[in-house]
Amino acid sequence: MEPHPPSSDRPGLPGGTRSGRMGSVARGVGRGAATAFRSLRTNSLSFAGFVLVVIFSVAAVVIWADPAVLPYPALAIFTGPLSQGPTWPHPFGTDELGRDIFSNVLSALPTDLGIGVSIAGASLLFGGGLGILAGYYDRPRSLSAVASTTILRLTDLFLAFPSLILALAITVALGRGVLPIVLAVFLTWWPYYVRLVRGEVLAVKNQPYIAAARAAGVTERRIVLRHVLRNILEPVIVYFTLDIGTVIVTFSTVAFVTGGVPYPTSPPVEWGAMIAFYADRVNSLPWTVIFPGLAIFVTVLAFSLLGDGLRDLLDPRSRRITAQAGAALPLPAGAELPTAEAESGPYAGVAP
Amino acid sequence: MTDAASEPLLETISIAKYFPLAVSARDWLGRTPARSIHAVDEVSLTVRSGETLALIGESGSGKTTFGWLVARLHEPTQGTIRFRGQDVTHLSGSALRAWRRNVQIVFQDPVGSLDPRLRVWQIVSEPIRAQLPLRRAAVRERVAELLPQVGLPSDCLDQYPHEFSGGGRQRLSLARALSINPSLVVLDEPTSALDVAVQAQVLNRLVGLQRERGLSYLLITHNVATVRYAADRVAVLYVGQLIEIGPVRAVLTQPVHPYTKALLAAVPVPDPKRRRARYRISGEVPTLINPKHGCRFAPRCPFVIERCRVEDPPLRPVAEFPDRLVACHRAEEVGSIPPETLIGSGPAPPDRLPSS
Amino acid sequence: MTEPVLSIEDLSVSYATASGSVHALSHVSLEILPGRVTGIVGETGCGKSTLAHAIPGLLPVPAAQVRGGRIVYRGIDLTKLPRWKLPMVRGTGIGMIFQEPLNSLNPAFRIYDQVAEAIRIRRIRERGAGATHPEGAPFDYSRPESPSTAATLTRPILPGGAVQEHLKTRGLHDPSMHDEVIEALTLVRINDPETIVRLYPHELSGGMRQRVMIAQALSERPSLLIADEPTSALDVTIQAQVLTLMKELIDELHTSILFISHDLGVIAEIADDVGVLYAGRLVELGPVAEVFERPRHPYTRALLHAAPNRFKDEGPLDSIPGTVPNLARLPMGCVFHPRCAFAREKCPTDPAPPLRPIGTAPAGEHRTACWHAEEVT
Repeated sequence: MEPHPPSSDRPGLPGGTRSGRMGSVARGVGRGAATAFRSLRTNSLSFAGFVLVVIFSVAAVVIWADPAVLPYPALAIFTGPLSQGPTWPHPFGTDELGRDIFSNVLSALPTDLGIGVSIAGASLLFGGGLGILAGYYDRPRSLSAVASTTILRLTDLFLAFPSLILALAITVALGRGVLPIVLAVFLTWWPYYVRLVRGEVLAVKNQPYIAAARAAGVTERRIVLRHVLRNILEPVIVYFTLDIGTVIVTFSTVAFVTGGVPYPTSPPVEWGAMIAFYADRVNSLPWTVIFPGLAIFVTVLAFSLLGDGLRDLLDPRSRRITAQAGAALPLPAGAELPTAEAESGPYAGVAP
Repeated sequence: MTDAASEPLLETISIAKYFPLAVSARDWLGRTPARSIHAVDEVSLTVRSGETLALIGESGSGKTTFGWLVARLHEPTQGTIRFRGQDVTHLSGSALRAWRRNVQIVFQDPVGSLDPRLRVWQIVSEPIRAQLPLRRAAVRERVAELLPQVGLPSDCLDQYPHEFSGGGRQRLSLARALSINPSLVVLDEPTSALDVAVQAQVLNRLVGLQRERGLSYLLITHNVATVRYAADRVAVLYVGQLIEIGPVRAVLTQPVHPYTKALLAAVPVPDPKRRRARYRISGEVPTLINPKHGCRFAPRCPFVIERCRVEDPPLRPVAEFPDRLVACHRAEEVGSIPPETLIGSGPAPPDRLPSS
Repeated sequence: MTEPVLSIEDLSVSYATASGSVHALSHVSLEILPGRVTGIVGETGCGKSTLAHAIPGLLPVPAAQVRGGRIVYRGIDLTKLPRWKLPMVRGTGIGMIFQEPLNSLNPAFRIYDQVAEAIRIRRIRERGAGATHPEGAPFDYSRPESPSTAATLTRPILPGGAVQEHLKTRGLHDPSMHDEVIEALTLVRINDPETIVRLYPHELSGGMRQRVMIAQALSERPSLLIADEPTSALDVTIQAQVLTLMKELIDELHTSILFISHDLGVIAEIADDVGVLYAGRLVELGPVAEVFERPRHPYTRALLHAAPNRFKDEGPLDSIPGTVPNLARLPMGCVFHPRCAFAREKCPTDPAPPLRPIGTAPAGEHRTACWHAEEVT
C-alpha cells in the first residue's frame, strides 16, 4: 500500500487535505447543479425565473462595481424635467426634484440583492451549522444531547420574536442605517435554518447507508462531511433560493416602516426606503412608488420561480429519473417498472 | 454436536439488547418500573469458520437487531461477543474501526443502504478507503476487479445506484461488504426484495463466493426456502429468544419446537394438490416490552401446559434429537409430531398430551 | 353457461413518459367467472398492479392511457363509462384490497368509522342509487328478476328519498350500524371487535389491519374483489391465518376474487384459475392444478423451477438467464424469447404468439402463448 502525496485533487481519501474534502463537496454541488440546470429548461416558468435571476445578478455586480453605468448618478437632483411621468430618457419618470427614478431603482438593485443574499447566506451558514450539530450529535443522555437541546431551545426563543418589532427595537437602539436593519432581520432569520437543516439531518441520519458507512469503519466526522452534507444540500439550496426573495421583502418592509434607510439624503438607495419617501406623493407622482414596488415584486418573483422549479425537480420521487431527463412517473402504489438494467455477463454464474 | 476441531469464528454469550422506552411524567410520578423493548434477549450461539448460520424468525423476533449487534452497530446491553476467541464486546474508537475489517454487513434495504449521491466506485470502496490509505487509481482498480465477482460489469464504476435494479443494488451492497475481505458477512434479508429468478442468481453467487473465499455467513431471513438452500445450520428466533438451533436438514425436516413446526406449516407450497384446509395457529406475536416469565410462545402453542406459562424453558439438548438445542418443556413428547398436524388436512393435534 | 363477472378483452395500457411510451399491459384477455378465484402471478414490473388498478378505473389518467381493449363488468364496458359513473361500480360492484393496509386505512379515523363508511355506502346503494345489489345480497345469477346493472347505472345519481333519508340519520349513533360493524369484524375472525373498533389503524398489528381491510371490502358485498398482494407484507404465520380466513370467506360468500401475487405458493393455495403475466402480456392461463403441474409456457416452467426448493448439496438453483425487459423497449416477436430455452426461428421475428388452447383441460380452458408449447416439459 503505497503512501500517497497529499494533494487537493484526490477527494475523499483518508488523510486528504481539507481542500480535497471541500473539493469533493463542491464537486457534489456542481454535479447537482448540472442536473438541475438540464431539467430546469423543461419548465419554462422556472427557466424564466432562472434567466431573470442571472440577469439581475450580473446587473447588480456591474452596477456595484461601476456606478457610472447608470444613465444618471443615483441621488442626483435636477437631472431633467421635474415631476414628469415615464418618458424617454426617463423611463421611470422623475420626482419633484428631478431625480431619475430609473437610475435610483437600478442603483438599489445591488443593495437589495446583496442584502438578500447576505442575510440568507449568513443565516444558512450560522443556522445550518447549528442545525447539523443539533441534528447529528444528539445521542440520548450524553453531552451532545445537552448541547443540541440548548441549541433547539435557543432557536425557539429567537423564533418567538416577531421580526418587525425586533427590527424596530434594534433600530431605535442602534440608530439608522442599513446595518442595524440587516442585523435585526438576521437575528430573526437564522432559527428557520436550524429547523430546516436539523430536520434534513435527522432524516438522513437514520438511513441505512449511514449505518453502512459506520460498519465500514468510517469516522463520524467523515460521515458528516461525506454523506450528510451531500444529501441535505438539495432541499437546503431550494429553500435558500426561495428565501432570498422573502428576505428582500422583509428588509424592504422594515426599511419602510422604520425609515431606517435614509432616502434620499444619503446612499445607499434601497427600494423600501424609496417607497417610504414617496408614499405620500402616491397620488400626484404614482410612478415614484410603482416602479420601486415593481422592482421588489419582479425580483422576488424571479427567485420564487427559480426556487419552485428547483423544488419540483428535487422531489424525491423524480430524483431517480432526473438523471435520465424524464418526467416523474405516477405509478399506482405497489407498481414498479424495471429500470434500465446495468447488468450483463454470465448468468450461469454458478458455484464451481 | 460441537465441532471441537475448529474454534468458532464468532461466539455470542447471552447477548441482549434492550431499548429503553421514554419515561413519561405520569410514569415517573406513579413510580411505574422502567420499561424497555427486549429486542434480543440472551441469545447464545456460534458461527463457525466457513459455514452459513441462518437466523430465521418473523417480525419482532430480533433477528435484524442481532445482526447489528454482531456487526457492532449496536452496543449490547449485556452479554459478550467473542471473535476468534477474543472479547470484542466493548471495543471502541480506532480499535473498533480496525476490527471492522473482519465483519461486514449487507443491509436489508437495497435502496436505502447505498448513498444516492455517490458513485458506484465510491460506495463499494468505502470500507477500503476507511481502512487503507490508497490512491484513487488503485482504489478504482480494486473495485473494477471486485465487481465481476458479484456479477456486475466492471465498467459501471461511475454510475449511480438508482441506475440499477433491486438485484443490482443488492450486488453492490455485497461487493462493498466483500471489498476488504472480511471473515464473516452478516446478510440481512439479502433476497427478500428480489424476484424469484434474481433470488436464485444471487443465492448461487453467495454460495459460490463462500466456497471460493472460505467466508462465513450469518444469514438473516424470514424465508424458509432461502434457508433450506443456503444454510448449513439454522437458528430459530421468537420474540427475541433463541428457541431452536441445529443442522438445517434436520430442523427443516423434523422440527422439534412447536413454533418451528408452526413456521414450517405456514409456508405455502407451489403445489395446488398440497393445499391446506385450515391453519391452526392463531394469535399474534406478543409484546416485546418487558416480557413476562414463561415461554413466549405459550399463548399460541397447541401443546401448551400450565408449566409453560410460568417457567422459562431453557435451551437444552433433547435426547431423541442429538444434534439440536431446543427451548421447550415438552420437547421430548411433542418433538416427533409432524408440522402437518397444524394444518387442517391432517389429523388434529392432540389437545392434551399426557404431561410428564 | 354462466356469464363472467368480469371479462377483460385485449386490454392494452401504456404510460406516457418523457423517454417514450411504457407498455405496461399488452393485449391482455381473461375472464373471471362468478364464485371463482382467479390468480394473477408475475414478477416485479410485469404489470400486475397496473391490471389491478385498471379494472376499477384507478389509473392516473393523464399519464396512463388505455390504448385498446375493453373491460366488461357484468355486461357494462367500463372503458366507455363516463368517469363520473365509475364510483358507482366501485365498492359495491368491484371491491379492492391492497398490499399495505397501513397505507390504505385512513390513519385519522378509528376502525369503527372506516368500516361504518363502507356499510353506509352499501346501504345508500341498496336504496336505489346502487349499481349492483338492490337487495344487498351477493350477486345471484340464478335470479332472473335482478335488475341489470346497466339499468341502474342509467338512473339519475341522486334518486328520490334515499340520500335525504340517510342524511337525516347521519350524525346520530345508529345502533343497527354498530351491530353491522361488529358483525363485519366477527366475520373476519377478530376476537374482540368491541375493543378493536375504538382503536386507530396504527395501534393494530399488520395481520389485524389486513383483516379490517377485508372486513371493509366485504361489507359492501362486492361481486368482484380485487386483492392486490394482500398478504405480501405479512409474516408467514399471519399470512397463513389470513389465507385460511379468505378461503373460508370464499366458501361462505361466493364472491369472485382476482388475487394478485408474486408468490407461487400463495397462488397455489387460494386460486382456482391462474394467469401468468410477463412484461405486460398474459403468457399462460388455465386451471391452477393444470398450469402448475404441467406448465405449457417456458416462462411459467422456469418460474416454477426457479424457486429455491432444495438443499445446498443438491446443486445450484435454476435461474432464468437475462433480465426482465424494459417495458419501454420490448423485444420484437415473442416478449420472452431472449431468455427462453425453447426459442427458435419464429420466436424473434413473428408477431407475438396469441393465447391458444392447449392441454387436457376441458373446453380450451388451459391456454398458452407459445409457438412451441407442445415441447415444454
